[in-house]
Amino acid sequence: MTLHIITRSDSQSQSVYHCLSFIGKKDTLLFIEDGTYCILNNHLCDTLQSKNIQCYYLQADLAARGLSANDNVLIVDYNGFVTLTENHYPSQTWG
Amino acid sequence: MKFALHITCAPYSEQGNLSGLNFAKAVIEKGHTLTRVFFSSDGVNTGSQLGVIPQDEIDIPSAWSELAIINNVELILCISACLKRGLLDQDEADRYEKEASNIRHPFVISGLGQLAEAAITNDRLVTFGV
Amino acid sequence: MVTKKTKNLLFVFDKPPHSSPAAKEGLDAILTASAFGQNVTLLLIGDGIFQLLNNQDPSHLPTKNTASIFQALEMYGIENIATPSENLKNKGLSPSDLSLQCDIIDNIQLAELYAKQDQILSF
Repeated sequence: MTLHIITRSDSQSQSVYHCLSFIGKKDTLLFIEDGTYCILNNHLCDTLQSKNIQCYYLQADLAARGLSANDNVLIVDYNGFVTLTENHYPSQTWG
Repeated sequence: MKFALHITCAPYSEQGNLSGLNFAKAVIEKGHTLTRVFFSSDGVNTGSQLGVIPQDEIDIPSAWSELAIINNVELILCISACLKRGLLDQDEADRYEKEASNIRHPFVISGLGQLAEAAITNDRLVTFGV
Repeated sequence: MVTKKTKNLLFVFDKPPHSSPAAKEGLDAILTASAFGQNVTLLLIGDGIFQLLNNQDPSHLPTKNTASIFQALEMYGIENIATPSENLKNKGLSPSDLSLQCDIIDNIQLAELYAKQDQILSF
């Protein structure tokens, strides 16, 4: 059960799409830094939801960028980020 | 759990370095052991003692030093990345006959074996900055 | 928790050659990990596959010819080098465009590869 940490937006990098090509419902995505801009891509979010992939967004990075969460994603603080790494093993950070 | 971090970007150049610092603090607050932070590539710039940070900004290198000293965390700078970027401790400065050394306490210059060992001996290795 | 001494380490390269030192640093890391007796796999994904493109000649820049280091990996006991078939196809490449033979894997095999790993290092 891998934790995939997405740090770039879907226009800065193809990484989130590389992930999408092979991850399954046991994997989890955590969006941090510019990765939080992915929340604005409705098509991407719908696709992730249809695959039952849990998506978390780091609150501090959403807030810094003036972004709001929606009902389909889960929000974590840094404490929650640590919890995700406890429960998912291993983690990969994508640029 | 035992955690190690791998930081590949410089402070102030990309957010990853600060993200790593915030994560490191949270790891410790949750009661885990943060054993080592390995800095490679531009991440080694974190270990410079020469940075002058504006007073209205967080002093990231100092924050790493403070976290390490209080919590007994090893801060390792990759030697090959350091040499290319002009981060030298006194031994390396003497070896290469350079005018000065510039590594801040308690950062230590060492080899990639420390990253490999961190991956092997820790429960979790998390990367920031790619 | 008992710590396994031999771990499955996945090294992921997703950057192309010459514009950044990432691959050179990643190669140093995978060689070191292998020397420590770990089970290492190298995954080239996204633009990382360009590291293996034939006929690279960085002598005019000049930058380090990292392609030749990839070719030496097998000599150091690193044989598990994989790349997704979908990525190769998206880039209009075929295995004959690559300077070394690697495992061309589908998305199911890619998921299985990830499921086996203890730690992942990205460069």
